[in-house]
Amino acid sequence: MAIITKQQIIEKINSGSLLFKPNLDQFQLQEHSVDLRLGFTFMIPKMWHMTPKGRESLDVTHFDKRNHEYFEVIELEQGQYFDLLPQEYILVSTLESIKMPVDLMGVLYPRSSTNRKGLSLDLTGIIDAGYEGQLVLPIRNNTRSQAVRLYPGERLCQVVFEELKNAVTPRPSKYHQKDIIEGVQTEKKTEVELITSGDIKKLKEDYKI
Amino acid sequence: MTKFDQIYQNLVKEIMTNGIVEFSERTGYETKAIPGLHFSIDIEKDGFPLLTLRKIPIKMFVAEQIWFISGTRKPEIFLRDYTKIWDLFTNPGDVVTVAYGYRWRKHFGRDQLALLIDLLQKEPSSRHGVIVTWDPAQDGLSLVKKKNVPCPYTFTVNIIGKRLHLHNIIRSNDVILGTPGDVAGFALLQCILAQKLGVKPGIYSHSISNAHIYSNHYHGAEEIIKRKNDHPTIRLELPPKAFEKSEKMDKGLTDAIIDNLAKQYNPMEAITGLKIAL
Repeated sequence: MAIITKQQIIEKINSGSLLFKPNLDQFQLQEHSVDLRLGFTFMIPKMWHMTPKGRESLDVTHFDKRNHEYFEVIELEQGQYFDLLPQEYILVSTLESIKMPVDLMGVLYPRSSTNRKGLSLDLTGIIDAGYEGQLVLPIRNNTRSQAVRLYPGERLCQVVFEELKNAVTPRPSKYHQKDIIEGVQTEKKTEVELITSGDIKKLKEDYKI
Repeated sequence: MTKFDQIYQNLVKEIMTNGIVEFSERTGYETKAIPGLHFSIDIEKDGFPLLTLRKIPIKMFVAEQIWFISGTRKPEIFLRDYTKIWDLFTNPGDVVTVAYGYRWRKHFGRDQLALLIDLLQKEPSSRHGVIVTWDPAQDGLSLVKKKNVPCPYTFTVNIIGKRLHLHNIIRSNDVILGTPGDVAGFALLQCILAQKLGVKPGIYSHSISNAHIYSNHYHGAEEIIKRKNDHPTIRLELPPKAFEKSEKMDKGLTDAIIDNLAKQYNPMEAITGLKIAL
């Protein structure tokens, strides 16, 4: 695998195989990476909700049901900012939607400026070949006493593109072209049933590679 | 002329004759306005309220309403294939922050639309079928201007006499460009909800707090007042399972509704030069 550089990134964008929406600007394109900007959507995990029975803690089981109600969603208007409180942990998104070619994967890293502010952008890892959509970034304010003011549009993370030895034929992921506020999507039912019953042996036997 | 054409023509006449002239600080336009304007139409008896006195783009309000029912907030998902009307109101992240369907189904942490259906299935005589679009924590009451805040900000649904009635409350309505599409869109919602609940659609009610006509639409208003036609009543025939299909943003359903209305629709010519005042 090789990491592609500025000229090759530009070529892939020009040929339409790699796509950013909105388009990249001059500030974003680096010698061997692309900086991505912070989006306008902020998702704050909720701990409780009201039910007909009263206040109930949220039963956060992610892999077997829809969970968009687990988050309070704040969508900022142009010109508004977001104060991330000390120790607060939220999900944000990139401003850009990205469309990956089938012969490239992306690896996402925080920008060093993000780290220096006391934020941790939990390693959000791999962008699969063929993925289309915004990227979700879990972010935490690690300081004990400083609120960190975030402006949608600021450059937050960087993506490095690595060429695959062979092009792949990816199936659309469960997050393909989805609005990020839909939250964590459910896993396949067959797998969920085996996991909740604890029958990992059967899972391994029935689904050998 | 259909019953709705008559109602609408009288509404426009009323505003042009008795409307109070005001200057809108926000838009920079003069308007004629009437406070507290209300009308009702019986969809079962008088037909589907689609204005024929000028051409209303059918696919715009049909696709918009299906997009609402799906609870989506991004026009790029489904809506933009049919209309770009919401593109004026997106933030730089391409999200309509107040998207009505998103407000009905997700924003407040309750799926109001699903709960409404559940309630009326179990207790059809309930008077608690209230759906709110307006978020008092962030909409209005402020000099900070948002790109958009809901105009139809709440509606109620009642089943009375085995028919489903929808009362739509609108804080502000541009009577020339806004009202016809809003009426048709919410009447469609009413028909879809009635079908889901196994009853006929009944009275659609439309109450406007500030009903106005912009000065750059006065020529259009005068033209509408003069117009006459012999357009027959329009009857909407919904394909089965319209609610479930709307939730999935089914294009087959969308096209079927558009076709059903379009084949009955012979509107008078468009009135040109009607620009939206933002």
